[in-house]
Amino acid sequence: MRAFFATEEDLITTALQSQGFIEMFYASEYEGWGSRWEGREVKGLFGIPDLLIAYGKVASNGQEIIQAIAFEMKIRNWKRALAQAYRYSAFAHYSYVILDEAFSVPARNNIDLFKKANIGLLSIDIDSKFKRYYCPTYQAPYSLNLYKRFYDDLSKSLFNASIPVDWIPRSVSIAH
Amino acid sequence: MTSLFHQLGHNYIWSIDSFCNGVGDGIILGPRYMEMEKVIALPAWIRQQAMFDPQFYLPNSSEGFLSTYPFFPRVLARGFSTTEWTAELAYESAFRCLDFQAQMDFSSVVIPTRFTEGMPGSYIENQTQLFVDPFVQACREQNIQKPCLLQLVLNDQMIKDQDYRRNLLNWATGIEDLGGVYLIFPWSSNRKQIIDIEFLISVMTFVHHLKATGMTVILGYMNTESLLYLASDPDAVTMGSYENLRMFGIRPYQPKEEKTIRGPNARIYASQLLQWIEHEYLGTIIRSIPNGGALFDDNEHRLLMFEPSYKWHFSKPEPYKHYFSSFSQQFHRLITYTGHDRFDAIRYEVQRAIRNYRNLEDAGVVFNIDSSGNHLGPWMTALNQFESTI
Repeated sequence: MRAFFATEEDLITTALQSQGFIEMFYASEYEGWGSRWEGREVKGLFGIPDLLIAYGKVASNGQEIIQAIAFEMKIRNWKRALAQAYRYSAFAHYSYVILDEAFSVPARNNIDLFKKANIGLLSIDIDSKFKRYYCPTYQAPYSLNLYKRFYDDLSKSLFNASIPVDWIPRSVSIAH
Repeated sequence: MTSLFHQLGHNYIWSIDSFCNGVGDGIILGPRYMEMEKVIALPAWIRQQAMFDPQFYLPNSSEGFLSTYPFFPRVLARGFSTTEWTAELAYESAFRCLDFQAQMDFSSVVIPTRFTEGMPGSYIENQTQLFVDPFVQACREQNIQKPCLLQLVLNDQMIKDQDYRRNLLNWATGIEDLGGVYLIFPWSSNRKQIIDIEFLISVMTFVHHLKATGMTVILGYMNTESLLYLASDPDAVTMGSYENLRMFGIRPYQPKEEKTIRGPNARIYASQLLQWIEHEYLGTIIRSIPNGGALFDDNEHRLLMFEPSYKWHFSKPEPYKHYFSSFSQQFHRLITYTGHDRFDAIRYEVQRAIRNYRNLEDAGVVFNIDSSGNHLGPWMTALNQFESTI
């Protein structure tokens, strides 16, 4: 079996530009959210997510609400990707692994581990075909310390200098 | 009865505090992180329960406080090279080093060693010439009555090679007036736990054979694998704070590189997992299984760390002081057993850790490799195989 992607960067670029990814993470699911922040290879948290997206909105009672989605993208080695993505659950509400479709079978055979860990499993192929094998449910981040540190910074970005939610990036390069 | 020593390094005061609070049976001092004046200033009762490791690993090193010791080879010879290290210099260094150790009234005196990579054929000859002969001679002339320990830094190749190991054993046990050995095993892997079964068995076999000859055996720079090594009944094992005190590496003795080295992630010791866990996992461990917090032994340091406002950082004392206390209890529980009962007691600890990891995995917790229980299977195998050979 040959990989669809030569490098992880190829996989990431293709995934971010795929219609499936845009619909799932930039469009329909997050309509109505006021602002979005995102970063690539965000350091200083727990592990280094390939991509981190956060949405913010202010509820009718004035409360600021934030949801963060973290991604680990790998061509193969789903076990390592799962462990990495699980780390991101420490500070994100949703955490996903995105694999090269060509090497997704071993991960799909172990889908129960993803379900138990509440980590999403997605794949992408060279034609930008995006597949969802498991979508996690909403879960509060498990590290209070990280939650506080991350969200204190994030709320400033989201609620002070917000980026309009209808802005869909073709090349995401915001560093945190 | 096996003892538990603190291996001192950077921020050694945490270890000394812990020792003064009754945790641990002794300390191992070293000049890299402690200047000579500070050693001299220690209370006599602490020095009497201490060993001094001269840390001649790289005799030309100028790192840390090594240069505050007049007997350190680089200081004495104003630079060290084997060709210019004459018999006279070797003897003078040995004489002064032993004189210092005797004056300080340490519990034993240590013959230092040089760090060597690979498996040089001339290892024994070199060590004998550079250190062993001069120190043994100086020891006799000063009529030192304390037990004399030979330090050996043995890499994985050396210890795993049966012939090499046998030669070392024959050599060390043949040195007259030697009371024992202070063994250090550098570990080259980036992994935080030892999973090499052959290495683990080789260490235990070596200790067992040394003990059979009546030698004292002290195992330095130990991480949690020291609990496994208790099966071979050493006289002392160590515990240390920072990772470089729990896994020997030569880097602290080499000139500093220009590049900035990122500090490790802060971890907490979970006695019931036999592992140091990255602190970020605490929340998920506690909420995933009933009584998950009990995997981390309760003591005054845990209380502080479990506060939501606690700011974790690898350079803070609490995780290490918690470890000293927690590990010491675990250690003392195990050494109450002897012979095959001790094997059973260690096996129980490993099995319990495996079971706890399984429960966490069943609850959906996925650990990064360095917080995982990946080492436990190899440990169990090593323990069982070692037991079958004795």
